[in-house]
Amino acid sequence: MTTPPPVRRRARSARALKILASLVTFFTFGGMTAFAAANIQNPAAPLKPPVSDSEPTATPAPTRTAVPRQRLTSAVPITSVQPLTRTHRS
Amino acid sequence: MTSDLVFWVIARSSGVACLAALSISMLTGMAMRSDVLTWLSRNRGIRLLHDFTNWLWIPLGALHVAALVADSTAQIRLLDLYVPFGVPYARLQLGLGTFSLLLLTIVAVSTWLRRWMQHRDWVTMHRLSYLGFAAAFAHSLLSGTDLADPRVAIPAWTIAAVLGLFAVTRLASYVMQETPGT
Repeated sequence: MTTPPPVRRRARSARALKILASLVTFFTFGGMTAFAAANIQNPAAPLKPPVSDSEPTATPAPTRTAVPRQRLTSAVPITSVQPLTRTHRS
Repeated sequence: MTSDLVFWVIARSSGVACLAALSISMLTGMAMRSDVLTWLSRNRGIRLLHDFTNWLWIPLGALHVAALVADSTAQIRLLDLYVPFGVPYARLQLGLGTFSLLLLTIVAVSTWLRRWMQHRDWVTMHRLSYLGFAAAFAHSLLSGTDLADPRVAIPAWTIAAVLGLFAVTRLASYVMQETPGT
């Protein structure tokens, strides 16, 4: 079995280290995303941004207004104009 | 889940991941001179990894900042990204984040401009990364929702302790080299 030359071995080692560092970082990112989504609030968190001082306003209840009932006419009206085309009869 | 909550989750996860990537960057940066990672790779491999970490922490830091600006509950304005200690609440805690952002931006930009800079100037600017990382860690500790949780705090403190030990060791060796007669 032949051993690879030192330069290639080093390059491979550097690539492996880069992949390892990327994996560590992205696993941290993914893991923390799952953790933060599962624990939205932390009672021990040092910072709690102040909420707005203004009083919350109540959402007005939905009201019903009288809408005139819509009348539907027949889909194909009858016309008095003479036909321009003929239907073929065999 | 509202859009604010989505931004909030992204801000938290990207902040912690950015700190992890910065820790790798600091560790590999200090390891180049002190040979503490020779068991893992040669100096050139460590150097390549150190350069590569910019591609990890910069996008995550940008995502962290963008998500906080987009989250209306956090009340972070665009101005607060440039001017530290100007947020209406928790000035110190959030100001440390802005301070670290500014310092680490200087470090990153000076790295890209290295070939046009005097070596001494570049080294001076690069050493700001120690202060930048310390400010980022303090910001995470004082304002981070997740570092208040022991499941996140214990690994974070362990990594910070290792980095602190490396920094002290490196400083001690530097002082011994500079002191005449030793």
